[in-house]
Amino acid sequence: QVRGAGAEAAAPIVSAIRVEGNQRVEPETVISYMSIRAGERFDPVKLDLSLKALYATGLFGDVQIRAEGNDLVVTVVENPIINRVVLEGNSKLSEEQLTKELQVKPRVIFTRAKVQSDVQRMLELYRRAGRFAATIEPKIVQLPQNRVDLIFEIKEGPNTGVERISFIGNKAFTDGELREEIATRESRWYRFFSSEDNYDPDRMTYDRELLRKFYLTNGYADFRVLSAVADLTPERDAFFITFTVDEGEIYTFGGIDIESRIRDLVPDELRSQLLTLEGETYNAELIEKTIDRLTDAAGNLGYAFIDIRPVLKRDREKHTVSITYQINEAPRVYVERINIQGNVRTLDEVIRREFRLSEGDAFNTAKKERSRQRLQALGFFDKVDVTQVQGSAPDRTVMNVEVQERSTGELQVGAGFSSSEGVVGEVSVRERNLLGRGQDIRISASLSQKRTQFDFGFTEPYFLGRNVAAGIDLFNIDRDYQDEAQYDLRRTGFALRAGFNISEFLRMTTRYTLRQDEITNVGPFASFAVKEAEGQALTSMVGYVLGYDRRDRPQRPTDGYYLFIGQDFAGLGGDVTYIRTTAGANYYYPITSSVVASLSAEGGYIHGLGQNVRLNDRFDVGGQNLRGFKDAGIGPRDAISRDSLGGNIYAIGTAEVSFPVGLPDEYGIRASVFTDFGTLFEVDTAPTVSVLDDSSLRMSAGIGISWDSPFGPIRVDFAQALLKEDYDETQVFRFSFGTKF
Amino acid sequence: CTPIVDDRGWRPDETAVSAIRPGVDNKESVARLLGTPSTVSNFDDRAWYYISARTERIAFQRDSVTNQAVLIVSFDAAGNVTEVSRLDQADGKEVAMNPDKTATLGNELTIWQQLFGNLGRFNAPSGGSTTAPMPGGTLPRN
Amino acid sequence: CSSSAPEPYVERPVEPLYNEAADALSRERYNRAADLFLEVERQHPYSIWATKAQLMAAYSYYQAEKYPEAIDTAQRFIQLHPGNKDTGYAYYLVAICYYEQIVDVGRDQKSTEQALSALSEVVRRFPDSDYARDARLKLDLTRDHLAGKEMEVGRYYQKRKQYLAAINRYRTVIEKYQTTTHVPESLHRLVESYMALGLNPEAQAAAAVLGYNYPGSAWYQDSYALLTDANLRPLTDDRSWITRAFDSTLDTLF
Repeated sequence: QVRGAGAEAAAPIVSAIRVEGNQRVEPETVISYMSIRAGERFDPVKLDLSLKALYATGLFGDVQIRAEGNDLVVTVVENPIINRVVLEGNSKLSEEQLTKELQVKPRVIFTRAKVQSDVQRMLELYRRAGRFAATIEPKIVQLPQNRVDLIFEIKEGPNTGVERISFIGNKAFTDGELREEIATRESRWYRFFSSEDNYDPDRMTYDRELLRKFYLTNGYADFRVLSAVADLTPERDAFFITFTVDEGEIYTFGGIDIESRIRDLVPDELRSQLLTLEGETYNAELIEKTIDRLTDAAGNLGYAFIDIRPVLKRDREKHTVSITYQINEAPRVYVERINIQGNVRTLDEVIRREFRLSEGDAFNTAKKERSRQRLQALGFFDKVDVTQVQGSAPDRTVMNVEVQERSTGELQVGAGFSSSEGVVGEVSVRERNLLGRGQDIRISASLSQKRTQFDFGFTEPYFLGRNVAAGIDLFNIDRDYQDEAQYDLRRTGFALRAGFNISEFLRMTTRYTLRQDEITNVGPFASFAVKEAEGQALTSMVGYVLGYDRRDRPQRPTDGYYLFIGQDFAGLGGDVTYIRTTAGANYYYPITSSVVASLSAEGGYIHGLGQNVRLNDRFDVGGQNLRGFKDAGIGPRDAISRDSLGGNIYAIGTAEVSFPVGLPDEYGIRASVFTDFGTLFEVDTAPTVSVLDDSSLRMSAGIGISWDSPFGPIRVDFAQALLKEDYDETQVFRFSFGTKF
Repeated sequence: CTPIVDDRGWRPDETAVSAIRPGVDNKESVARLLGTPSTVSNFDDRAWYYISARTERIAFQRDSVTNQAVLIVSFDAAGNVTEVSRLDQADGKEVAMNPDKTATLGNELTIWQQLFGNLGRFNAPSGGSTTAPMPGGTLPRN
Repeated sequence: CSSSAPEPYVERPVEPLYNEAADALSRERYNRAADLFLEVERQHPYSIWATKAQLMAAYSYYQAEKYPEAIDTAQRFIQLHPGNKDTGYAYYLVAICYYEQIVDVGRDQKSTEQALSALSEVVRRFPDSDYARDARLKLDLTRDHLAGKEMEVGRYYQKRKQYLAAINRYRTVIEKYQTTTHVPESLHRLVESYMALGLNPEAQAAAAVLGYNYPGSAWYQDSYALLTDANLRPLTDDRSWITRAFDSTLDTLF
């Protein structure tokens, strides 16, 4: 093709490339970015490419390429270097908050594009912080040596909060109830900390989702948010938000059916897992939970590759929704590799052993989710993400477990006050993930007017590679019981413990304890029962606790229940012989997402084997476990000396409703209304002691406030004893406060 | 008490296995029927292994492995199926793992570092020069 | 810059500023030196000192074991001066910063992987420089380290009798990390795992490869003992993959 050859001959060869106008950037650097070299022919395409490449580096404000004879001359104007970045006029957002987001930084090359995008970025931050009327003006100050100072003049403008949130079309629930469900809050004076009362378009869309979820879990299958409008007041300082909703009718569940499309998987075996029952009000969440349970149950039956889809059929006349859970064959995918990332401190094994899936196993979402929950429950990580990537074959997947560790070491020096022990001082060092091995070690010393205590605790969660959490505790306690029963107790000893899961929710902890109790400086007028117990006693005891835990989480549970029974047999040597049995149940019920009702009951019986039960082995009731009464405030008491003798049989219980006080969660303030009840009776002591003992039920009612304040947890309880014996000792006010720093 | 049961590895699918005909099927058809093999023979690419097992964990005992099975699909040089055979748990031998480990280096986390966070400097004696020289400085020849 | 109290901004001539920085460096006050070198670059970006100061700042951060800052400054130097004679040093410094953060095999090997790619970058871009010679030594070590991680996980699964998972991990060592010190052990672990499954021919093949390539190793004695215990012998089988896969290793090793 002749023409091509012709053009070739006409273009001369570039003899040299000269760079002009550069100050900081070396000529070789400019040339290295160009796609044409000396010795090559002039080629307009390559020149254009070089031009684009040089601009793309962001180093240059202007680039000219021209030919001078056979030389190629590249004249550049370098972008100035930023010397300083100054923010003026910012008060709502700190300098540190803003500069973190900026691309322009000292020593970085100045380009107009960077400045513009930074201005937008800062405006976005101000909009988030509720300042819609903010304006930002960038100013440039030229400096010698082609440097600039950059000044952002910020006018923040008034705070545009959310004045009013109103709803149209809601019949089933009041505006107030719906306001409780969404994230955006109305501006109130006490919400000065929170940003939730600022208008934020993203949070509005989230609110729509929250409303839909709320209605769908309360039977309104046809619920729709028609519109969510935010009108700005003329003075641009507040928003009025209006949600228009169409609730539709309330539905109940119609026929519920399971249809299995997998050979030899019989639906009836899974029927017991159904949470959506015919006749009950429609609840979208229950459908999701049922699917999880069905997947789990099928997984246990060996069907790993299933995908369950609910098919909903609405009957508009009878307002019922009937559901068919279709169990389909899922693609047979296997886990090729499990990569654990982000564990800077925790050992790979400590994470991998929590996984229900191993490499080569059939992939199963329920097991993946349970593995993630188990990692979360370790308490070592702020975040646990399990993502999947296609493996080396279509039916292979690689699971990437990304963890973000939190500091698990706690060095706490605390001081506090509690009505039962007066001023309390405490020093404790704890590391829950010792050397990344998942081991828990705790050393603490605490001192109060009535108690000095030293504790050492060590636990290995997977003892000898088995699924056994074995540990050892050493303790030395000096307790002054002068107020309660005119004696001092010193208890020194150690305990070996081993805990393991018998089934997914049933856990057994066995324990061997060897301890020396010593009762000293018994008061002259103390009860004979106390005098009788003076001196030392060695207890060598083995015991177990069986716990069935179906709570949603160990700390501050909101749902589920926990049952336990424990027995201790003292008498493997030592001076003390008895059998002690305790049992109890806690039940939690979420009335709404933030209001939790809890009911708990506990009881115990200690029976001396061939000897009386010793004073300090008996149960004490009152104070923390029976509010409204003093420590050891109820139960058998020496008629003369009024010393509390403790009892062999006890039963206590609490009914409590805890709720937020309307402040956002991050304040950590919760209140509760409760009633405690209990009894303590039967004491086997020398006949000469006249004992006031009555198995009547005591009861109290009261309110409590708990606040996780920045300086430490504060707990206040007011409880009034309603039913009591005249010789019981009551206490209306309990207060405990601890600072940890 | 009910043990916690986990099915490991390949999920056997007996109907698919019985559908494999030696001499007729080849690697593609086997892969379609049974999926990608759990692992393949290490050194001569003549056999595909489908390994499955069930681990049971009862209370405090170590995980015990029950009904461990290996399905072996052997191929000839051309990749056609020559034979389908099985191994079960009895064929396996109770092998004690050698306790030694090949040494590895890297910063061990000491208590000091865990409390105060700096991981210090990792340098393997065998790994060339210990620290980087000043800019322009030369590297010691070793 | 990283000094805690924001120093009052004082415009100073470049020579004394640079000398003060160099002096702080010689007195091993690395953080101070890094701040001062960066100040040289900020106030006099076009002076010949600025380029050198940038590199010295990176070096100072490195000495102060502030690896992220050192890497960041060195990479900024590379971006600004790709053609400079010291760019090789900058690439090398980045690689060393990652290399020195390598942690033991029980933990996340991200810094090992970063070191591997940074060191390979040094070898690729400056093949016959001093830096590349040192980088090659360190490369072998990082690869060995990654192989060690595979072994660690393999042993974890083998201990729990999950032989499928263990075997695939050990195979990764043989295929991806052929030149590392972990190959003998991975072969022996394969012998152990295959015998536990009953796949004796595979165990014999693995033992044969181990014997063929590492006759003196203790691991081979172990494998041999295991096999004879089950009255088996390492497979002498030439047509198999033994010779093909490992001839390439033999050339590099000896």
